Amino acid sequence: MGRMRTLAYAVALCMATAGAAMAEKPFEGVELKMLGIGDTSVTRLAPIVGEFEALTGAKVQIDMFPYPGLVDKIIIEASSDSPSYQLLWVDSPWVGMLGEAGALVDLTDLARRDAADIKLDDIIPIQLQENTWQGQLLAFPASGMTWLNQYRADLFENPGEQAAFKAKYGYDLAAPTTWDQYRDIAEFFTRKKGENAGGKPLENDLYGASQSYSRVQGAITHDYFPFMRSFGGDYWDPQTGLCAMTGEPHIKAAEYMKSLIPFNPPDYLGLMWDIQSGYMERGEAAQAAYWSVRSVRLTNPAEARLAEIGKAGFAANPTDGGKPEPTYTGALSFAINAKVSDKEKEAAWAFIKWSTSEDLMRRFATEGNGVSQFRKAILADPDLQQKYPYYKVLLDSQANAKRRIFHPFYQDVEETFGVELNKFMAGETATAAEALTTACNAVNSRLKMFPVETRLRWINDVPAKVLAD
Amino acid sequence: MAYQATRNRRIFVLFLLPVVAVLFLTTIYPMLYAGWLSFRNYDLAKPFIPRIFVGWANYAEILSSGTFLHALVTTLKLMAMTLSIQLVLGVGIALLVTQRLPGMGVARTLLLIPMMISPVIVGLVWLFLYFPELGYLNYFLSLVGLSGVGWITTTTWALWAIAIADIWQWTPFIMMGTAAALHSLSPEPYEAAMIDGNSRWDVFWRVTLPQLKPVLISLMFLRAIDAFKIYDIIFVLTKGGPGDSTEVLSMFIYRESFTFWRMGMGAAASFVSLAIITVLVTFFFKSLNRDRSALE
Amino acid sequence: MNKPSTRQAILVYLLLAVVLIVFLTPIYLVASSSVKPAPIMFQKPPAFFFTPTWEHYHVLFTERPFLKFIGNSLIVALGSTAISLVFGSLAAYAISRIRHRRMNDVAFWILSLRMFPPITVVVPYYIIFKTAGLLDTPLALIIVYSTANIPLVVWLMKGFFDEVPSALEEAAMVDGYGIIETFWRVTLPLAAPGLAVSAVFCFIFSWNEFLFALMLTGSRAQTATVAVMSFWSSDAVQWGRIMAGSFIILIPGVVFVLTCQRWLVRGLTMGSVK
Repeated sequence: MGRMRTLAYAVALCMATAGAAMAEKPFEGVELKMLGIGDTSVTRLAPIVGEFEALTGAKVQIDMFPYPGLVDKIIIEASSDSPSYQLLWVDSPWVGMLGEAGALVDLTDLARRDAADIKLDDIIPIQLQENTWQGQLLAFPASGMTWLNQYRADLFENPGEQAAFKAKYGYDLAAPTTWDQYRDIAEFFTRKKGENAGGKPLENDLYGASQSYSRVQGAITHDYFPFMRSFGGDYWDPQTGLCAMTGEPHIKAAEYMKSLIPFNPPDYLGLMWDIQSGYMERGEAAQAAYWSVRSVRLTNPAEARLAEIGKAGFAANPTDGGKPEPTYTGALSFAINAKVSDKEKEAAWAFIKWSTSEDLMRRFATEGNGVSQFRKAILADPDLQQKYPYYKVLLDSQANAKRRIFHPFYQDVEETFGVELNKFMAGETATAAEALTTACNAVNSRLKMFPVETRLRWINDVPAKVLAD
Repeated sequence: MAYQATRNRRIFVLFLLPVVAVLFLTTIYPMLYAGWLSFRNYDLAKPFIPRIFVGWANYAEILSSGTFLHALVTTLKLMAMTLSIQLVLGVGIALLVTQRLPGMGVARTLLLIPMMISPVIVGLVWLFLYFPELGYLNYFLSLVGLSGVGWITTTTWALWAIAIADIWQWTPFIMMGTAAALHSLSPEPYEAAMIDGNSRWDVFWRVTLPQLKPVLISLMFLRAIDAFKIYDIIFVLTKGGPGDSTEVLSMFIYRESFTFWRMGMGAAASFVSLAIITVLVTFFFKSLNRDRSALE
Repeated sequence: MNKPSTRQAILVYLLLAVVLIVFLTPIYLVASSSVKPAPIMFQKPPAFFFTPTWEHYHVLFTERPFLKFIGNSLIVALGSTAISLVFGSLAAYAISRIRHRRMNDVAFWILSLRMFPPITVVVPYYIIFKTAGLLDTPLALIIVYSTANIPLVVWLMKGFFDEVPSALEEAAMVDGYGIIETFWRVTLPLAAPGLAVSAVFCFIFSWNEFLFALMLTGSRAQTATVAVMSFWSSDAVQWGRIMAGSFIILIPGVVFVLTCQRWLVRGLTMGSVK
């Protein structure tokens, strides 16, 4: 019976979305509320939810909340038996925490059922994997991102700079492929106001790199974890399922991050994401390894001075010793509250399908709200690549990408490592090993209460069932 | 007269009862719930963790935790810094704005504006000032030839940075309360003091201040209680960093209750901190009452 | 107090000018940042002269129903202030006039309600309001804020009532006033400055509170403070929007304080009569 009804909704929805005007609206009278945020993945959608209502009859209300406190609000909402919100905005690292709590609907069957409709094959596989927990698809990407390298292409391409760089370091100046090169370049471009850069005197100090070291919103871990991963480190010990971030690559990554400090703006300990990328946007940093969520600004003169005074370049991030370590990926996604009724579930799924459809993504990209994308067809579109130069990097680098941390204790990890790494960077903790050991011990003191099988299950990245044939 | 007094007392009790009843009703469930939590291992985000009774284990862990002690010490340090400066500045400014001169009402209103900004937003506003490179404060300092400091980015200055933002926001609280009290002071003692030929300073010290004392004590009480709970500004400015230099009790409680979702630990920490502030305030109360009886 | 001499007046104005500059600079930053184009929001040295943009204000009112959020804030703040003043001053008067040892305990219990860390009671309040169907309504916030504000009013007003000479009240009673009349006609007007101060503090607390407003409301009852902070998102802190919003939500607060200033002045004249 339930299945029949589901089928009926599905058929009705297909007819509605196909534009069959005579079809009755399948979700007339359904009201959906989304617990959302005020970032581009949502703000570009909020003004046009009326179009979805016109198509399906379902009324959608998107509530926007600040990022600080959002995850707390979602957890409290998820702990309640009767939902106030049917749709939830999810940052991909939360997926394990919400998944193990049983807070989200498994979208696997829905996505497989409507595979053709949603052009499942067109979605970059790692973007789907990023939203899975134990193989279940618990959220659907609404905005995809990678950690990429952004640099001053105008300076990198300047013949004078290239010659000087080669003379000093013995190799050609280009987007770095190793972290050592990244640091060389950072050192090379760290210059004072008035010195020359690209043949012109600098109006402001130029910094070689701009990374986050702040504790606010765990910013420091959002830089450290990708570094650590690209140095070949992993979060967990595959034998015990405990925190293993005390090994050689982990220490190396922390020390590497500290070694970048002289080339960072002096407010490095207070740098949050947007202040960090602000240096890049004003053309005051030569390069920044950063999430692609703000890359769109670098080529937009209304948002970044760099677009006027220089040129932004984009590349996949370097790796340790040039080893083909994968890029780091992330997703900002929409999910369905596990406590909704069947009808609301179908309506919510219809909304997710509509809001992440290729048509809508293309429309956003054309309108200038492209930001980060997760569909190959859009990232590969030559016109859009022209408009968004980093699309090509997103497309290419995600072929070999690793997902972010997805553990149920993610918040513990982020907070604990944020504190300890920040102490290390501030010089309060003498060595990286000491800082990392303290942090790992704190995390492990909670994990040790669980049997090893549970811990191993939590760290196991089961391939997305939605992609299985 | 005795009959009158008893009758009056009955009416006064009638004044008091509804308030007590309302407050009791609105707080009883949250307090019982928190008390119940504090003896439990309760993780709101991870329902698969058994929510078992753990006795006093949460309290034991908190009291033996270096992090909690550090947070307590930081909180007390911050309280000492903010309260003392707020008191002196607040009273000083109140004396200025209660002078019988034109424009004082306007000045007083303008000075209240800092208090009208939400503490979370105060944090953001002060970020504008504090950024070592991009901030206004170091720029202003450089204009007068001083080299700037890393306000929120060095462990030496971060706590002061928090304190300054808090002082900026809450000095108007003391100022306004004091100004209101100054207005309602009875003028006779002044006239007497002036006739006696005392200097202005003597008059302030011997006549004004003793009269202000009850109001000042009330104001400091309220400030102390709120300062003990200071949270929003830190959440935005440093989130306890750099390192752990601005970790206060509220940050500890927030992290345990929400980030780690160990609600039992958070609740236990709340009761411990309630006990500490109660002891502090009672101590204050006692010395206050002693003063009172000495006066009477 | 006597009128100050010219020399003293100059000194007072000078000191006050310094104080005003220090205290108002951050406010100036809010105002100037609210019309500053995003690309120059942060730079070294800070931009003081630039062509102002109204974009931030425009976005505030077109992309979000900001007026509605301000309305919500007003309902919550005024509601909570009114309730807190009535209940708080009655209790304060009783505590001030009943001469009994136990009163200290009552007063202390009331005050202790303000001491408890709010973070811990967010979840139980959420449960209560969810069960009662009050989640995402202004009433939920009014209840929570009044619970926090009544202790404040009790403490402030007790201080003011203590200072009202009992001789005045006794005289009123001799004139045949009842106890309620005495309170209403004699004591309360004398404590008007305290009432004004309490009103301002209650209003400000309710207007600015963030944690409960975030956790207990959705779009229906969202307050302006939460709405302003929602421009802090995952990809950007939209400083211009936040500052524009902050500047706007200052205005009702200033108007409220100006209104209360009248009471303060009234208190002043009463004081000189007595």
